[in-house]
Amino acid sequence: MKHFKGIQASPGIAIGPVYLYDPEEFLVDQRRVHPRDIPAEESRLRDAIAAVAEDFAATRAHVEDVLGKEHAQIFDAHLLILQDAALLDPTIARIRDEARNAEYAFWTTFRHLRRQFEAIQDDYLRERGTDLLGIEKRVLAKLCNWEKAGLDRLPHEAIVVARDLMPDDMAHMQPDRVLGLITEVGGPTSHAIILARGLEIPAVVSVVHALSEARMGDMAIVDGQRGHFILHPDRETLAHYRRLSKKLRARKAGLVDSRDLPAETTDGVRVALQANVELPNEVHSAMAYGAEGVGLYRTEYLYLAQNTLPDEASQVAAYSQMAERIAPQPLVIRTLDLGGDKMSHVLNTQPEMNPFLGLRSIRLTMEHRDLFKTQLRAILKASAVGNVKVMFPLISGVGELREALLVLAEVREELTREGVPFDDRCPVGVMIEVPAAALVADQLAREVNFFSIGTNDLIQYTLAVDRGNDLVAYLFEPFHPAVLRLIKRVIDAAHAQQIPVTVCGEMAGNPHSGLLLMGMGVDKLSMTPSALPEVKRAIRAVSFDQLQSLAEDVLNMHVIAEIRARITHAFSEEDDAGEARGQESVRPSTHKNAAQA
Amino acid sequence: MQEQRAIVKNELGIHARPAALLVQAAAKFTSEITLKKDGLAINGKSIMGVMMLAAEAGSVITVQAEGDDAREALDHIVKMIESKFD
Repeated sequence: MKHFKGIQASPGIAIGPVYLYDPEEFLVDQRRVHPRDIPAEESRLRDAIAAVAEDFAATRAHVEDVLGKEHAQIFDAHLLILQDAALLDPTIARIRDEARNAEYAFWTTFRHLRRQFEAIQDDYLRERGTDLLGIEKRVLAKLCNWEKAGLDRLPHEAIVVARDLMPDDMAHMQPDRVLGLITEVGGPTSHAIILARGLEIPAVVSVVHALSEARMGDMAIVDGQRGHFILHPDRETLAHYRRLSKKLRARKAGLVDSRDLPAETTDGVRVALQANVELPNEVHSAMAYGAEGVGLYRTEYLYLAQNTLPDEASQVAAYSQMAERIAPQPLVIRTLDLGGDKMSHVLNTQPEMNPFLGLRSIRLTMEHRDLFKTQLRAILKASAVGNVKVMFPLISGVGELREALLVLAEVREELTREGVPFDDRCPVGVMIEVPAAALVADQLAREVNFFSIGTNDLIQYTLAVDRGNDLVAYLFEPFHPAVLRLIKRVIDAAHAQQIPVTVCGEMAGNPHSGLLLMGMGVDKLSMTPSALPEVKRAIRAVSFDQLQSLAEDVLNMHVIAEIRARITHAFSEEDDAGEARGQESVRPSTHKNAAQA
Repeated sequence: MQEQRAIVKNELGIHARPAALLVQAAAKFTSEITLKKDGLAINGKSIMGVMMLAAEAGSVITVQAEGDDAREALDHIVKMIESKFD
């Protein structure tokens, strides 16, 4: 059994045989062509190019349907290359003057082009240029009559393992044959992965050495819940994942039962369950799982999905569409929450020694005021068509908050002057994810309409642990007394000012920690849509009395193990599989079980 | 022949998408369009050529046009480059 750790990109579990998807290098043969065959050779070239252009046009249309116009535009560049004289003229010349076969002439032209592109100094422009050269293989495939075994012609259901996936690979795949996806490179925000999530195909990216270690037909598991890829699972692991997969499917099937029921304890106390979403198509599943609105709408994908900053119009369109779809339920839009390290493709950001403590999130948007204002304008415009709330991330104190509020006030004034309609009372909230903010929560609570606790970052910053670092990830501990105390403090401070508190970190989506938070007084829990049914089921099985006394007990405990034991004991009647999984998702795996076994 | 200089203003320079827009625009004119930068001259109707210019943000491009609609072509393309291809 081999265990690989990657980045979780699309949730779900897939079990099945591996299909290696690795478009190979072509071996192009070189032939002399008889003079009378030269015209035929030329038309072979033109036919091949026309056929590829046709494929691309079809893919473009498909991608535009699924992902929208912006995403489809990249295919325009490909189509233009196919008509480009810089490509055609030298190729035709080689066929005519040197009497070479079409594939060799074409290959030679590309070799020259590639060399010129590789000499470009600017990293970004060089990479974009070489990206475009990928079209070479498609034309050669047509010329050589070599049918690439694309994802549209998988021989059987399989887990696809690839170096990287292009949008057009995904656009043409048969979703019913692709059980899961593994890529060696590429991030969770690549176009292909966005598509995979939309299609609910489990995916893990950045799995190093996946291609060299896996062979065609190897039994494998994609754990899209945790970002793992397992080759040759042993019987025990296989059985574990079969159970988990069955459970996930059953939960999905059973969600309809609880969708319209309130998240209410046996003694009638309610909490609002909301969804965290990023992509427009996730709203479907959020609604299907009975979410009472969106407690966290991450806007980062708009900034990462393309190589230019999103303009106001495209943001208004994205926010309005989502606000309309879930109205009258609320949509909490978080302003851009990225580090400068993720924005170097569109902003002139400097590399930082310590990006997590650096120019990120609200600090970055305050620094790039135009970007911030554009986003705030778009959010306010969307507030005209739905129940929109705006939320600032990474706020650390009142001074910073007031500066951000000032920018918001400027934007409101602008819109009022322009006569643009927006919700004048659009509520404003802050994310509490910096310990400093938790400590001055009483001060912050006087300035805003709601709090939302981002537990992931709050835990990392409080415990000084990077959970992505295997060496210390075991220290990432939601039930650390320091974390629980900070959360309690925030809840009390908010309630003293009569403002509601949401928790939108992973703690909310785990039944155990979610219930504990409810006992501590949290008003809303916002989580990944697929976690909603289980949390709701857990809430409906307990009394609020029980939860309050649990919270009280736990807050007085000193030792994490003791706290965990108390919580486990409180829910011991709960199903055991749920408990095991619950702990997994709230606690990262330690490096021990993530290493190759 | 007419020519005019343009400064590339979009932050990522003329990458694939702007290059595509530029070539599509150039193709609408009958004039021959040439772009020059750092001693390299390329056909403005060739996307490969435009990409090869490697026009990063802040670089200066000389746009040349020759033909009946040279003036309009020049105005249009320079404006496009300087308005960040919006």
